Amino acid sequence: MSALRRTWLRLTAGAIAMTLEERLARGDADAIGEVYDLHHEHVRRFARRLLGDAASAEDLVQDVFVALPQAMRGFEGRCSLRTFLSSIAVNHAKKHVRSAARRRAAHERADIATRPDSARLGTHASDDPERLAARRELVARLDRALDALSLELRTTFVLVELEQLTGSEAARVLGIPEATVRTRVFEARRKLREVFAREDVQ
Amino acid sequence: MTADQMLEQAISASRDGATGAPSFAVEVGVQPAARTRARVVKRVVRRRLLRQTTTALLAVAFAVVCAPAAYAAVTGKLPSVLVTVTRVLRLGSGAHGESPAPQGRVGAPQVASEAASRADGARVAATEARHTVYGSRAPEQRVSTDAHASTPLPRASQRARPTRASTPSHVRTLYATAHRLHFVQRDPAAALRAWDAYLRVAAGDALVPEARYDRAIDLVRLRRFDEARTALAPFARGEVLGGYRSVEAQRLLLALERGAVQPVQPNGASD
Repeated sequence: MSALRRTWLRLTAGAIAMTLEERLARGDADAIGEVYDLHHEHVRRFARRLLGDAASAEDLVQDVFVALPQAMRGFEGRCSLRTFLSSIAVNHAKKHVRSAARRRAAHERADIATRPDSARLGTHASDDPERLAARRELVARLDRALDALSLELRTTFVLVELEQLTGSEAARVLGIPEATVRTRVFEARRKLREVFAREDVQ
Repeated sequence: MTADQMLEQAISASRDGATGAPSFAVEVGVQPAARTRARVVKRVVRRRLLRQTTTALLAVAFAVVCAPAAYAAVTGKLPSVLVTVTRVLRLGSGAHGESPAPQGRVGAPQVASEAASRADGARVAATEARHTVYGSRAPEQRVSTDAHASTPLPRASQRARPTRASTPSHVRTLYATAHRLHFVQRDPAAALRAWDAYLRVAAGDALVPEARYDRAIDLVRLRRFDEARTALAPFARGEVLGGYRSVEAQRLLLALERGAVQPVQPNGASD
């Protein structure tokens, strides 16, 4: 899709959202395509952070948009479509979490080179390679540490800490009270610190 | 660096887009996103088509089932339709009557509901000499043919048979004995004695007409044609339950008249 069309859709997203709802609920393929073009990067980023594995994240992205027409029947318009897509992703993440963890563990065992050199990274070309590698290593540790969390803690942590949703937004996505969101984030942080501390000792 | 500091830096790095795997943009790129988009659209289209096809098939099936049922209900044929369906599916427990006959053979006469209600008010006389005329006619109902088909007698369709009223068990036992001798053991002499024993005590029993008819058949088998004609005459005239077995009796009498079944001469020779 051209950049001009993408910009136009983003500007008019608020105006056409209501129209899209009915089309999505009917399973209109064009509507699905439009929504995909608007939100696939956000969903993919969330899925990637949630699962820590690109292939599993791509599968989750596909599941989210395929399930969207049926899920739209329960969409009441009380949140944005982006938030609604995140909630669909959370609901479908369970079956991908285990496969992602297994795949990541297999990659690490096989020492598969998944880290390209900095010259290939367009957005990070100016970064110090060493610093970039260090940051990437930290993120990899975080991905591994997230495997130690339950799915509920994991999704809550990703939504609040990585996706930077507010407590109320995360509560809406997860369908839980806001107080529960805060409790889960606190618990997730505690466990992640323990994992990091344990790895340092080892 | 403490664990808490490392965690915060990891969170910050993740927020900034640095990933543990190749960069997000390179890792995913345009091609995988476009492929995913194509797969999504294809699956959505397929699901919609499947849903539409399923809905159409269900609508057709509903119309096929409900339209005839509605017609049957409007025309008053629904009960008979249900009975027929039940028989076909072998779900009715009393659809074929309670027959003492052995397995594989035709059981006791099958009774139509209309004949059952009429038979209560129309009892057949216990003796052969009585000819009771009944105003109502048993409804036409085809049932499986009985064992008479294997005899020289012509196969005949069976009309509706009288219902089985509640009678003492020994009366039914007598009927069952005669029935077995007639249809299974095919011993006309013994069957004749058994029919006589039943008819002596079965006054008013609903199976009396059938017993009288089968007794007449045994008389034919024993070549006692004069007695057989006398026994068959009321049936042929339609005086039994408004025409019960009248066609069969007429055909049998005609066969006797034409000499299809020759009597035995006193000296044992036949004509």
